Amino acid sequence: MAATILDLTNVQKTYKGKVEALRGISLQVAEGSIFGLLGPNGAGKSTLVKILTTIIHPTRCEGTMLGYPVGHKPILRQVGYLPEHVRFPAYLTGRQVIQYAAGLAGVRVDRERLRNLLRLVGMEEASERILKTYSKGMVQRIGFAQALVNDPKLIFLDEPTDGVDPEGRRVMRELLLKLRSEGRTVFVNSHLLGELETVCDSVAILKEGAVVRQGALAELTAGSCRFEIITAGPIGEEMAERFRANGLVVEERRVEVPGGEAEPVQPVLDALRSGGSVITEVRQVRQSLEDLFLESVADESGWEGKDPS
Amino acid sequence: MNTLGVLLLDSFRMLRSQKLFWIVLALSGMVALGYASIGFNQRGISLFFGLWTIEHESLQLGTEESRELYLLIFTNTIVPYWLGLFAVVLALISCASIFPEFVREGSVDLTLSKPPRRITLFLGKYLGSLLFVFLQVLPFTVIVFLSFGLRFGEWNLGLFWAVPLVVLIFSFVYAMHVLISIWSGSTVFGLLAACLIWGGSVLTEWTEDIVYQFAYTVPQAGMKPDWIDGGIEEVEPRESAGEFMVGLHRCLDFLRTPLPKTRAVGAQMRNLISVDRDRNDLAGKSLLGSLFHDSSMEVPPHIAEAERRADQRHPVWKDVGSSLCYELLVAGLAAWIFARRDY
Repeated sequence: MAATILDLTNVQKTYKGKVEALRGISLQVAEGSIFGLLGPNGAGKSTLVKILTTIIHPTRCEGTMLGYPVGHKPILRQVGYLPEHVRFPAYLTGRQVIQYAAGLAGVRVDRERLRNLLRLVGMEEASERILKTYSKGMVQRIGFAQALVNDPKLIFLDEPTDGVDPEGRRVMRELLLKLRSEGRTVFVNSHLLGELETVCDSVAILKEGAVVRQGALAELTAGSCRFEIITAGPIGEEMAERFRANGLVVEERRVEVPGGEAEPVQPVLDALRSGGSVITEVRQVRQSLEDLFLESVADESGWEGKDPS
Repeated sequence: MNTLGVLLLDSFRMLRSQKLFWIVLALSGMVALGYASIGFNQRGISLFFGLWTIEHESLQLGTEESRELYLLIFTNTIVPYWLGLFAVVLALISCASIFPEFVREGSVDLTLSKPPRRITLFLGKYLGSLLFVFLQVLPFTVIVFLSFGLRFGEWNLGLFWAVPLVVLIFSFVYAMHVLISIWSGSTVFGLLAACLIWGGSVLTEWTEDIVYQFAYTVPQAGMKPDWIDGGIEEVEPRESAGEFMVGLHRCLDFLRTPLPKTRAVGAQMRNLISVDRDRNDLAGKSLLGSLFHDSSMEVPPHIAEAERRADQRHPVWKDVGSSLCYELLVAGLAAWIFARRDY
């Protein structure tokens, strides 16, 4: 089992005016994984990342990051961070931004390393231009490069694909997978659930400053796994009643068999065939991250369906 | 490169990218060249590198008066008005956005998430702002130093006191700007606060100076103002005026103590940037008096003594020390807010 690189217990943040941004967050992130932190606006995602990167002082925080208590400044030498809405000095060139970040992180960056980083994010050619001539996507790529300049073990990315075009998003996804393959841990805050789903090993869902779901993505969505059988014509009423009595969900031309195993599906298929139904499709259905997210954050106020950013 | 070096380099890059930096540098260069263009020849004082000559016997090449005048133009005109006022105002405008930009969301996140402590980051930015004034005043002073050296063969290193003193004056004003802009995040509020404290302190210093003259210098010089008719009557010299004036001065002096003393520190510049006093045979005389052969402008010894006492009533260490205490307090408070705040 992979070691835990981030182990948080009871992280709390209460702002002046008694606004509770975080209400006792506890979560663990395994080393060498991609971890996704999800939640609607105001859930406390950015606050949590800012506490971990010492930008915000927690009201209470127990736990460790890379083996040291959260807030231990020197350990940030091994941490990379790309803030949401990052604003680099507009008078610097892309190359100078990376050198500036390296200087603040206390690392020396030679020409070769600089070239590799720029190549990694596809900014080698534009690196000598000043930032005010960059598009948002280009700034984000430079931001990504500066987050990696100190060869970090743990990287925090707060909405890394915000404002990035589809091609840029694909590049970013590939970068995340590459970082994981190098043994680094990536902690991503994002509202683009579809993207996270394809890369994340585990996720935590925040709602109103508390973790409502947490775990490996496969495990979290496994409970909702089912098979759907589609028939050409309507299923007979007598057969439908028999299926319902066995706990299956039956609609006019569709039967749902819960679980991820194929064996329980076979008798249903046999029964349908023997009843004269023509089977047009059998498919395995797993709950998407979006479904999981919406289910987790839905409340009486009818939040469900709004933009989970 | 260490953190401080990185932040100073960044400040330098920021300044270099600002048009205003180059405009101020060009203006500085023009003023310095204007000063360098003043010369002396066998007929008198020449302007614009000899294009125009004002004939005057005392200001001919090689006279002590010409040397003294050349230095006085620097210490009594350029230092207080250009370096002490215009350069500081321009520097304040140029550096006004540094801290508000630094603490803006997205920008501050990047620096705070790095290993250096917040106090180090604050200091780096603060010193980086002072770099602006340093880079403006240094070349200016070098030109003046070379001009003086080439004109009179006297390489007066005392001229370089202008560099730390102007930086010091700027830092007194800038500290309040930093505090307010970190607290409010607003460039405009920061500038207003800096101007208020600067104006307030100059007004207090100026008022204290005038009240001191009437409370001590005028009576010591054997003069008595007639407040009703407006004349001045010659009387027997005495130590001080009445209780009211002395009390008023004491109040103003007390009010002046905690404030930054930009005017007094500027005046110190004139004392530090001086010609070799041993060679100066103008001591105790009015320069204008000697230039225009007007004996009525000779200063009597008891008045010179009263003026000397007025000049020395505030020791340099006290003025600079209390101003530094003010700066330490204000900038320290700004650093404390910066270190404590969530971004």
